Amino acid sequence: MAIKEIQLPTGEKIVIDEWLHWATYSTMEFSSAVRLDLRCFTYLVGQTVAHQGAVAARTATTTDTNQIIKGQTNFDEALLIYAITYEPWALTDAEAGSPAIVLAAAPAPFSTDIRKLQRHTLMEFNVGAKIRKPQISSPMSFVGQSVGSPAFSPGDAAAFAANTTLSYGTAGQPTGLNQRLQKLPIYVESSRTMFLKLSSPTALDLETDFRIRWYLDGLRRRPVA
Amino acid sequence: MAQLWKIRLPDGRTLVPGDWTTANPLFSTVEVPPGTWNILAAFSYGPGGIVPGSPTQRKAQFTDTNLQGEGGKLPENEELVIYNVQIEAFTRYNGEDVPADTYPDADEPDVSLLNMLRLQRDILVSVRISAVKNYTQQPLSYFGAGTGVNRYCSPSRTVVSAGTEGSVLGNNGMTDVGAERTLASPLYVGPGDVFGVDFTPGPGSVEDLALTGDSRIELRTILNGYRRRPVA
Repeated sequence: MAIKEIQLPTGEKIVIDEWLHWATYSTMEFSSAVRLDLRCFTYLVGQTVAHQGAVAARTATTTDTNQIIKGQTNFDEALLIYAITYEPWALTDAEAGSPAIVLAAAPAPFSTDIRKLQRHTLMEFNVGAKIRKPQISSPMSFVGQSVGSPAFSPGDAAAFAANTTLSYGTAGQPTGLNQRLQKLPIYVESSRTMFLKLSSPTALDLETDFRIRWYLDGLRRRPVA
Repeated sequence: MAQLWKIRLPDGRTLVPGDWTTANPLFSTVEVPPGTWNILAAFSYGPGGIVPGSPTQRKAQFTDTNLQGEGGKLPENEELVIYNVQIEAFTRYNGEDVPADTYPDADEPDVSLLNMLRLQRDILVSVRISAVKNYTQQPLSYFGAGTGVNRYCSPSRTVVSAGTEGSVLGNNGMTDVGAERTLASPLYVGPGDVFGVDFTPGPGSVEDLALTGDSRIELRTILNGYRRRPVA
Protein backbone atom coordinates (compact mmCIF):
# COMPACT_ATOMS: atom_id res chain seq x y z
CA MET A 1 0.00 0.00 0.00
CA ALA A 2 1.38 3.43 -0.87
CA ILE A 3 2.40 5.91 1.80
CA LYS A 4 0.65 9.18 1.04
CA GLU A 5 0.64 11.08 4.33
CA ILE A 6 2.61 11.01 7.53
CA GLN A 7 1.10 12.58 10.62
CA LEU A 8 3.72 13.80 13.04
CA PRO A 9 3.20 13.68 16.82
CA THR A 10 2.64 17.42 16.68
CA GLY A 11 -0.36 16.89 14.45
CA GLU A 12 1.41 18.29 11.43
CA LYS A 13 0.84 16.31 8.24
CA ILE A 14 3.43 15.76 5.57
CA VAL A 15 2.22 14.70 2.15
CA ILE A 16 4.65 12.42 0.38
CA ASP A 17 4.66 12.38 -3.35
CA GLU A 18 7.05 11.37 -6.06
CA TRP A 19 6.45 12.63 -9.54
CA LEU A 20 8.59 11.19 -12.31
CA HIS A 21 8.78 11.80 -16.04
CA TRP A 22 7.26 8.46 -16.99
CA ALA A 23 5.07 8.09 -20.03
CA THR A 24 2.26 5.56 -20.08
CA TYR A 25 1.97 3.59 -23.30
CA SER A 26 -0.37 1.09 -24.96
CA THR A 27 -0.54 -0.62 -28.35
CA MET A 28 -3.34 -1.26 -30.80
CA GLU A 29 -3.45 -3.33 -33.99
CA PHE A 30 -5.96 -3.19 -36.83
CA SER A 31 -6.37 -4.44 -40.35
CA SER A 32 -6.16 -2.38 -43.49
CA ALA A 33 -9.82 -2.18 -44.48
CA VAL A 34 -11.59 -1.91 -41.18
CA ARG A 35 -13.91 0.88 -40.12
CA LEU A 36 -11.88 1.86 -37.14
CA ASP A 37 -13.33 2.11 -33.66
CA LEU A 38 -10.65 0.91 -31.33
CA ARG A 39 -9.57 1.74 -27.80
CA CYS A 40 -6.28 1.14 -26.05
CA PHE A 41 -4.99 1.43 -22.47
CA THR A 42 -7.60 -1.26 -21.93
CA TYR A 43 -5.43 -4.32 -21.18
CA LEU A 44 -2.36 -5.44 -19.25
CA VAL A 45 0.73 -7.46 -20.03
CA GLY A 46 -0.38 -11.05 -20.51
CA GLN A 47 -3.80 -10.07 -21.81
CA THR A 48 -4.81 -9.61 -25.44
CA VAL A 49 -3.55 -6.57 -27.32
CA ALA A 50 -6.41 -4.31 -28.42
CA HIS A 51 -7.17 -5.22 -32.01
CA GLN A 52 -9.82 -4.84 -34.70
CA GLY A 53 -10.38 -6.58 -38.00
CA ALA A 54 -8.54 -9.58 -39.35
CA VAL A 55 -5.32 -9.20 -37.35
CA ALA A 56 -4.54 -12.20 -35.16
CA ALA A 57 -5.06 -11.85 -31.44
CA ARG A 58 -1.73 -11.47 -29.67
CA THR A 59 -0.69 -11.63 -26.03
CA ALA A 60 0.68 -8.33 -24.78
CA THR A 61 4.30 -8.07 -23.66
CA THR A 62 6.07 -5.36 -21.66
CA THR A 63 6.74 -3.42 -24.85
CA ASP A 64 3.03 -3.29 -25.68
CA THR A 65 1.88 -1.59 -22.52
CA ASN A 66 2.93 -0.48 -19.05
CA GLN A 67 -0.58 -0.11 -17.66
CA ILE A 68 -0.80 -1.28 -14.05
CA ILE A 69 -4.56 -1.76 -14.06
CA LYS A 70 -6.62 -2.00 -17.20
CA GLY A 71 -8.72 0.85 -18.37
CA GLN A 72 -7.82 3.24 -15.57
CA THR A 73 -5.11 4.70 -13.38
CA ASN A 74 -4.11 2.71 -10.34
CA PHE A 75 -5.30 3.75 -6.88
CA ASP A 76 -1.84 5.03 -5.93
CA GLU A 77 -0.96 6.75 -9.18
CA ALA A 78 -1.86 9.91 -11.03
CA LEU A 79 -0.91 11.29 -14.41
CA LEU A 80 -0.17 14.79 -15.63
CA ILE A 81 -0.26 14.50 -19.40
CA TYR A 82 1.55 17.14 -21.40
CA ALA A 83 1.58 15.46 -24.81
CA ILE A 84 0.42 12.47 -26.80
CA THR A 85 2.60 10.83 -29.41
CA TYR A 86 2.77 7.51 -31.23
CA GLU A 87 4.87 5.22 -33.39
CA PRO A 88 3.48 3.01 -36.16
CA TRP A 89 4.67 -0.25 -37.69
CA ALA A 90 3.33 -2.16 -40.66
CA LEU A 91 2.35 -5.76 -40.00
CA THR A 92 2.60 -6.69 -43.67
CA ASP A 93 4.53 -5.45 -46.71
CA ALA A 94 2.98 -2.76 -48.88
CA GLU A 95 3.06 -4.05 -52.46
CA ALA A 96 1.92 -3.03 -55.90
CA GLY A 97 1.94 -4.43 -59.40
CA SER A 98 2.20 -7.91 -60.83
CA PRO A 99 4.60 -9.40 -60.14
CA ALA A 100 4.38 -7.50 -56.90
CA ILE A 101 7.13 -5.13 -55.91
CA VAL A 102 7.53 -4.05 -52.33
CA LEU A 103 6.70 -0.40 -51.72
CA ALA A 104 7.60 -0.56 -48.04
CA ALA A 105 8.70 -3.69 -46.24
CA ALA A 106 7.29 -4.52 -42.82
CA PRO A 107 7.81 -3.27 -40.22
CA ALA A 108 8.39 0.04 -42.06
CA PRO A 109 4.98 1.67 -42.56
CA PHE A 110 4.03 2.85 -46.05
CA SER A 111 4.06 6.66 -45.98
CA THR A 112 0.83 7.04 -47.94
CA ASP A 113 -0.88 4.89 -45.30
CA ILE A 114 0.33 7.28 -42.59
CA ARG A 115 -1.14 10.16 -44.56
CA LYS A 116 -4.43 8.30 -44.95
CA LEU A 117 -4.59 7.70 -41.22
CA GLN A 118 -3.87 11.38 -40.62
CA ARG A 119 -6.72 12.34 -42.91
CA HIS A 120 -9.32 9.76 -42.06
CA THR A 121 -9.05 9.07 -38.33
CA LEU A 122 -9.89 10.92 -35.16
CA MET A 123 -7.88 10.49 -31.99
CA GLU A 124 -9.66 11.02 -28.69
CA PHE A 125 -8.47 10.68 -25.11
CA ASN A 126 -11.23 10.19 -22.55
CA VAL A 127 -11.08 10.41 -18.76
CA GLY A 128 -13.88 9.33 -16.47
CA ALA A 129 -16.43 6.55 -16.63
CA LYS A 130 -19.30 7.23 -19.03
CA ILE A 131 -17.94 10.71 -19.80
CA ARG A 132 -18.63 11.36 -23.45
CA LYS A 133 -16.60 14.54 -23.79
CA PRO A 134 -12.97 13.71 -24.55
CA GLN A 135 -10.17 15.57 -22.83
CA ILE A 136 -8.16 15.58 -26.05
CA SER A 137 -9.64 15.24 -29.50
CA SER A 138 -8.09 15.91 -32.88
CA PRO A 139 -7.50 14.40 -36.27
CA MET A 140 -4.52 12.13 -36.13
CA SER A 141 -2.61 14.59 -38.32
CA PHE A 142 -2.50 16.98 -35.36
CA VAL A 143 -0.43 14.47 -33.35
CA GLY A 144 3.34 14.63 -33.90
CA GLN A 145 5.46 11.49 -33.96
CA SER A 146 8.35 12.08 -31.59
CA VAL A 147 9.59 8.48 -31.55
CA GLY A 148 10.80 6.38 -34.47
CA SER A 149 13.50 6.16 -37.06
CA PRO A 150 14.46 8.39 -39.96
CA ALA A 151 15.52 6.60 -43.14
CA PHE A 152 18.44 7.24 -45.41
CA SER A 153 18.21 5.44 -48.73
CA PRO A 154 20.68 5.13 -51.58
CA GLY A 155 21.57 8.02 -53.83
CA ASP A 156 23.24 5.73 -56.33
CA ALA A 157 20.81 4.98 -59.17
CA ALA A 158 22.32 1.56 -59.82
CA ALA A 159 21.57 0.55 -56.27
CA PHE A 160 17.88 0.76 -57.10
CA ALA A 161 18.23 -2.50 -59.00
CA ALA A 162 18.13 -4.21 -55.66
CA ASN A 163 14.89 -2.40 -54.87
CA THR A 164 15.98 -0.29 -52.01
CA THR A 165 13.45 2.30 -53.04
CA LEU A 166 10.76 2.65 -50.45
CA SER A 167 8.01 5.00 -49.48
CA TYR A 168 8.48 5.27 -45.72
CA GLY A 169 7.60 8.25 -43.61
CA THR A 170 7.11 9.57 -40.10
CA ALA A 171 4.63 12.14 -38.82
CA GLY A 172 7.21 14.86 -38.53
CA GLN A 173 10.81 14.28 -37.57
CA PRO A 174 11.21 11.74 -34.78
CA THR A 175 12.71 14.00 -32.13
CA GLY A 176 11.68 14.69 -28.56
CA LEU A 177 10.58 18.14 -29.66
CA ASN A 178 8.06 16.87 -32.19
CA GLN A 179 5.14 16.54 -29.84
CA ARG A 180 2.46 19.12 -29.26
CA LEU A 181 2.75 20.28 -25.65
CA GLN A 182 -0.58 20.98 -24.01
CA LYS A 183 -0.60 24.45 -22.52
CA LEU A 184 -3.24 23.10 -20.15
CA PRO A 185 -2.00 19.61 -19.27
CA ILE A 186 -4.51 16.87 -18.59
CA TYR A 187 -4.63 15.66 -15.00
CA VAL A 188 -5.82 12.11 -14.44
CA GLU A 189 -6.43 11.41 -10.77
CA SER A 190 -6.06 8.00 -9.16
CA SER A 191 -8.57 5.29 -10.02
CA ARG A 192 -9.98 7.18 -12.99
CA THR A 193 -11.24 5.43 -16.08
CA MET A 194 -9.23 6.45 -19.10
CA PHE A 195 -8.75 5.26 -22.66
CA LEU A 196 -7.52 6.47 -26.02
CA LYS A 197 -9.74 5.85 -29.01
CA LEU A 198 -8.93 5.92 -32.69
CA SER A 199 -11.90 5.96 -35.04
CA SER A 200 -12.75 6.48 -38.68
CA PRO A 201 -16.08 7.41 -40.22
CA THR A 202 -15.74 4.87 -43.02
CA ALA A 203 -13.68 1.79 -43.74
CA LEU A 204 -9.99 2.49 -44.11
CA ASP A 205 -8.24 1.83 -47.39
CA LEU A 206 -4.70 1.09 -46.31
CA GLU A 207 -2.11 -1.06 -48.04
CA THR A 208 -1.10 -2.89 -44.86
CA ASP A 209 -2.32 -3.91 -41.45
CA PHE A 210 -1.00 -1.69 -38.68
CA ARG A 211 0.37 -1.67 -35.15
CA ILE A 212 0.46 1.68 -33.33
CA ARG A 213 1.95 2.27 -29.89
CA TRP A 214 0.48 5.35 -28.21
CA TYR A 215 2.26 7.32 -25.48
CA LEU A 216 0.72 9.60 -22.85
CA ASP A 217 3.79 11.67 -22.11
CA GLY A 218 4.24 13.66 -18.93
CA LEU A 219 4.61 13.17 -15.20
CA ARG A 220 3.43 10.18 -13.28
CA ARG A 221 2.94 10.04 -9.53
CA ARG A 222 4.40 6.89 -8.11
CA PRO A 223 4.07 5.52 -4.59
CA VAL A 224 7.18 6.23 -2.58
CA ALA A 225 6.93 2.90 -0.75
CA MET B 1 27.61 32.94 -19.06
CA ALA B 2 26.16 32.55 -15.58
CA GLN B 3 28.06 30.32 -13.26
CA LEU B 4 26.44 27.42 -11.51
CA TRP B 5 26.62 28.03 -7.77
CA LYS B 6 23.95 25.79 -6.33
CA ILE B 7 21.67 23.02 -7.53
CA ARG B 8 18.32 22.46 -5.85
CA LEU B 9 17.17 18.89 -6.29
CA PRO B 10 13.53 17.82 -6.67
CA ASP B 11 13.50 16.64 -3.05
CA GLY B 12 14.53 20.06 -1.80
CA ARG B 13 18.15 19.36 -0.97
CA THR B 14 20.72 21.87 -2.16
CA LEU B 15 24.07 20.90 -3.60
CA VAL B 16 27.07 23.19 -3.72
CA PRO B 17 28.96 22.17 -6.82
CA GLY B 18 32.47 20.94 -6.60
CA ASP B 19 33.89 19.97 -9.96
CA TRP B 20 30.55 19.82 -11.71
CA THR B 21 30.54 19.51 -15.47
CA THR B 22 28.07 19.05 -18.27
CA ALA B 23 30.82 18.15 -20.70
CA ASN B 24 31.61 14.63 -19.55
CA PRO B 25 28.49 12.44 -19.79
CA LEU B 26 28.58 8.94 -18.45
CA PHE B 27 28.18 6.20 -21.06
CA SER B 28 28.07 2.39 -21.27
CA THR B 29 27.51 -0.23 -23.99
CA VAL B 30 25.65 -3.54 -24.28
CA GLU B 31 25.35 -5.91 -27.24
CA VAL B 32 21.98 -7.24 -28.41
CA PRO B 33 22.08 -10.74 -29.92
CA PRO B 34 19.74 -12.46 -32.37
CA GLY B 35 17.36 -14.96 -30.84
CA THR B 36 16.07 -15.00 -27.30
CA TRP B 37 17.75 -13.18 -24.45
CA ASN B 38 16.77 -12.09 -20.98
CA ILE B 39 18.32 -8.84 -19.81
CA LEU B 40 21.34 -6.71 -20.64
CA ALA B 41 22.54 -4.22 -18.02
CA ALA B 42 24.44 -1.12 -19.06
CA PHE B 43 26.69 0.47 -16.39
CA SER B 44 27.19 -3.00 -14.85
CA TYR B 45 30.93 -3.03 -15.56
CA GLY B 46 33.93 -0.75 -15.43
CA PRO B 47 37.07 -0.38 -17.51
CA GLY B 48 38.30 -3.79 -18.59
CA GLY B 49 35.07 -5.47 -17.61
CA ILE B 50 33.09 -7.76 -19.90
CA VAL B 51 30.62 -6.06 -22.23
CA PRO B 52 27.19 -7.63 -21.60
CA GLY B 53 25.95 -9.64 -24.56
CA SER B 54 29.33 -9.98 -26.22
CA PRO B 55 29.67 -13.45 -27.80
CA THR B 56 33.42 -13.42 -27.18
CA GLN B 57 33.28 -12.01 -23.63
CA ARG B 58 34.85 -8.89 -25.03
CA LYS B 59 36.68 -6.67 -22.56
CA ALA B 60 35.42 -3.13 -22.52
CA GLN B 61 37.43 -0.48 -24.25
CA PHE B 62 37.35 3.21 -23.33
CA THR B 63 34.76 3.82 -26.02
CA ASP B 64 32.47 1.25 -24.42
CA THR B 65 32.22 2.89 -21.03
CA ASN B 66 33.72 5.62 -18.85
CA LEU B 67 32.18 4.41 -15.59
CA GLN B 68 34.99 4.01 -13.09
CA GLY B 69 35.18 1.24 -10.51
CA GLU B 70 33.86 -2.27 -10.76
CA GLY B 71 30.54 -1.16 -12.24
CA GLY B 72 26.98 -1.32 -11.03
CA LYS B 73 27.26 1.82 -8.94
CA LEU B 74 28.50 5.37 -9.07
CA PRO B 75 31.91 5.91 -7.45
CA GLU B 76 31.82 7.46 -3.98
CA ASN B 77 33.44 10.65 -5.22
CA GLU B 78 30.96 11.32 -8.03
CA GLU B 79 27.36 12.54 -8.36
CA LEU B 80 24.99 12.67 -11.30
CA VAL B 81 21.87 14.65 -12.24
CA ILE B 82 20.44 13.06 -15.37
CA TYR B 83 18.44 15.22 -17.77
CA ASN B 84 18.73 13.06 -20.88
CA VAL B 85 18.99 9.34 -21.53
CA GLN B 86 20.29 8.94 -25.07
CA ILE B 87 20.71 5.54 -26.73
CA GLU B 88 22.61 5.08 -29.97
CA ALA B 89 22.84 1.88 -32.02
CA PHE B 90 25.64 0.34 -34.07
CA THR B 91 25.92 -2.94 -36.01
CA ARG B 92 28.82 -5.28 -35.32
CA TYR B 93 28.97 -8.30 -37.65
CA ASN B 94 31.95 -9.96 -35.89
CA GLY B 95 32.94 -11.62 -39.16
CA GLU B 96 29.63 -13.40 -39.59
CA ASP B 97 27.77 -13.69 -42.87
CA VAL B 98 25.40 -10.84 -43.46
CA PRO B 99 21.89 -12.29 -43.32
CA ALA B 100 19.26 -11.73 -45.96
CA ASP B 101 16.60 -9.17 -45.26
CA THR B 102 13.98 -7.46 -47.38
CA TYR B 103 16.38 -4.63 -48.02
CA PRO B 104 20.08 -5.33 -48.43
CA ASP B 105 22.12 -4.93 -45.28
CA ALA B 106 24.13 -1.99 -44.14
CA ASP B 107 27.86 -1.67 -43.72
CA GLU B 108 29.17 -1.69 -40.18
CA PRO B 109 28.51 0.18 -37.96
CA ASP B 110 25.33 1.47 -39.60
CA VAL B 111 22.01 -0.08 -38.60
CA SER B 112 19.50 -0.88 -41.32
CA LEU B 113 16.11 0.82 -41.17
CA LEU B 114 14.28 -2.47 -40.69
CA ASN B 115 16.54 -3.60 -37.84
CA MET B 116 16.23 -0.19 -36.20
CA LEU B 117 12.45 -0.35 -36.29
CA ARG B 118 12.54 -3.88 -34.84
CA LEU B 119 14.78 -2.78 -31.98
CA GLN B 120 12.60 0.24 -31.24
CA ARG B 121 9.52 -1.97 -31.25
CA ASP B 122 10.72 -4.82 -29.04
CA ILE B 123 13.17 -3.48 -26.43
CA LEU B 124 12.15 -2.00 -23.07
CA VAL B 125 14.61 0.31 -21.30
CA SER B 126 14.53 0.74 -17.52
CA VAL B 127 16.56 3.34 -15.66
CA ARG B 128 17.23 1.91 -12.21
CA ILE B 129 18.57 3.79 -9.22
CA SER B 130 19.14 1.72 -6.07
CA ALA B 131 18.91 -2.00 -6.44
CA VAL B 132 15.27 -2.51 -7.29
CA LYS B 133 13.55 0.75 -8.14
CA ASN B 134 12.94 1.94 -11.69
CA TYR B 135 12.84 5.68 -12.17
CA THR B 136 11.64 5.60 -15.73
CA GLN B 137 10.87 2.78 -18.10
CA GLN B 138 10.02 3.13 -21.78
CA PRO B 139 10.60 1.44 -25.11
CA LEU B 140 13.93 2.10 -26.78
CA SER B 141 12.54 4.63 -29.26
CA TYR B 142 11.51 6.96 -26.43
CA PHE B 143 15.15 7.61 -25.62
CA GLY B 144 16.28 9.14 -28.91
CA ALA B 145 19.98 9.21 -29.62
CA GLY B 146 20.42 12.84 -30.63
CA THR B 147 23.55 11.55 -32.42
CA GLY B 148 24.25 10.02 -35.83
CA VAL B 149 24.91 11.01 -39.40
CA ASN B 150 22.40 12.99 -41.43
CA ARG B 151 22.88 11.68 -44.96
CA TYR B 152 21.99 13.59 -48.12
CA CYS B 153 21.00 11.38 -51.08
CA SER B 154 23.29 8.74 -49.72
CA PRO B 155 24.51 6.07 -48.86
CA SER B 156 25.32 4.54 -52.17
CA ARG B 157 26.32 0.95 -52.66
CA THR B 158 27.73 -0.97 -49.75
CA VAL B 159 31.07 -2.60 -49.04
CA VAL B 160 29.31 -5.59 -47.52
CA SER B 161 27.66 -6.28 -50.91
CA ALA B 162 30.95 -5.83 -52.75
CA GLY B 163 29.51 -2.76 -54.38
CA THR B 164 26.52 -4.49 -55.95
CA GLU B 165 23.69 -3.19 -53.79
CA GLY B 166 22.58 -0.21 -51.77
CA SER B 167 20.91 -0.17 -48.38
CA VAL B 168 18.39 1.75 -46.34
CA LEU B 169 19.62 3.01 -43.00
CA GLY B 170 17.88 3.97 -39.79
CA ASN B 171 18.71 5.77 -36.55
CA ASN B 172 17.20 5.88 -33.09
CA GLY B 173 15.44 9.19 -33.75
CA MET B 174 16.93 12.14 -35.56
CA THR B 175 20.63 12.82 -35.59
CA ASP B 176 20.73 16.39 -34.29
CA VAL B 177 21.74 17.72 -30.92
CA GLY B 178 18.38 18.58 -29.43
CA ALA B 179 16.69 15.51 -30.86
CA GLU B 180 17.08 13.74 -27.53
CA ARG B 181 14.31 13.80 -24.96
CA THR B 182 14.79 16.00 -21.89
CA LEU B 183 13.29 14.63 -18.71
CA ALA B 184 10.86 17.02 -17.05
CA SER B 185 11.88 15.50 -13.73
CA PRO B 186 15.65 14.90 -13.76
CA LEU B 187 17.09 11.86 -12.03
CA TYR B 188 19.64 12.12 -9.22
CA VAL B 189 22.28 9.47 -8.57
CA GLY B 190 24.19 10.02 -5.34
CA PRO B 191 27.75 9.03 -4.48
CA GLY B 192 27.98 5.26 -4.18
CA ASP B 193 24.41 4.70 -5.32
CA VAL B 194 23.69 1.48 -7.16
CA PHE B 195 22.27 2.28 -10.59
CA GLY B 196 21.98 0.88 -14.09
CA VAL B 197 20.09 0.96 -17.37
CA ASP B 198 18.51 -2.38 -18.16
CA PHE B 199 17.41 -3.60 -21.57
CA THR B 200 14.80 -6.35 -21.81
CA PRO B 201 12.98 -7.74 -24.87
CA GLY B 202 9.22 -7.52 -24.46
CA PRO B 203 8.45 -10.58 -26.63
CA GLY B 204 11.56 -12.45 -25.44
CA SER B 205 13.68 -11.47 -28.40
CA VAL B 206 13.90 -8.72 -30.99
CA GLU B 207 11.62 -10.46 -33.46
CA ASP B 208 12.91 -10.94 -37.00
CA LEU B 209 16.18 -9.17 -36.19
CA ALA B 210 18.38 -9.67 -39.26
CA LEU B 211 21.56 -10.88 -37.57
CA THR B 212 23.24 -14.28 -37.47
CA GLY B 213 25.51 -16.11 -35.07
CA ASP B 214 27.92 -13.77 -33.30
CA SER B 215 26.64 -10.61 -34.97
CA ARG B 216 25.37 -8.00 -32.54
CA ILE B 217 23.70 -4.64 -32.34
CA GLU B 218 25.60 -2.45 -29.88
CA LEU B 219 23.52 -0.05 -27.83
CA ARG B 220 25.48 2.72 -26.16
CA THR B 221 23.61 4.60 -23.45
CA ILE B 222 24.65 8.16 -22.69
CA LEU B 223 23.46 9.75 -19.44
CA ASN B 224 23.63 13.45 -20.09
CA GLY B 225 23.30 16.14 -17.46
CA TYR B 226 25.36 17.45 -14.55
CA ARG B 227 28.17 15.24 -13.33
CA ARG B 228 30.39 15.90 -10.32
CA ARG B 229 33.79 14.45 -10.82
CA PRO B 230 36.68 14.17 -8.39
CA VAL B 231 38.58 17.44 -8.24
CA ALA B 232 41.87 15.61 -8.73
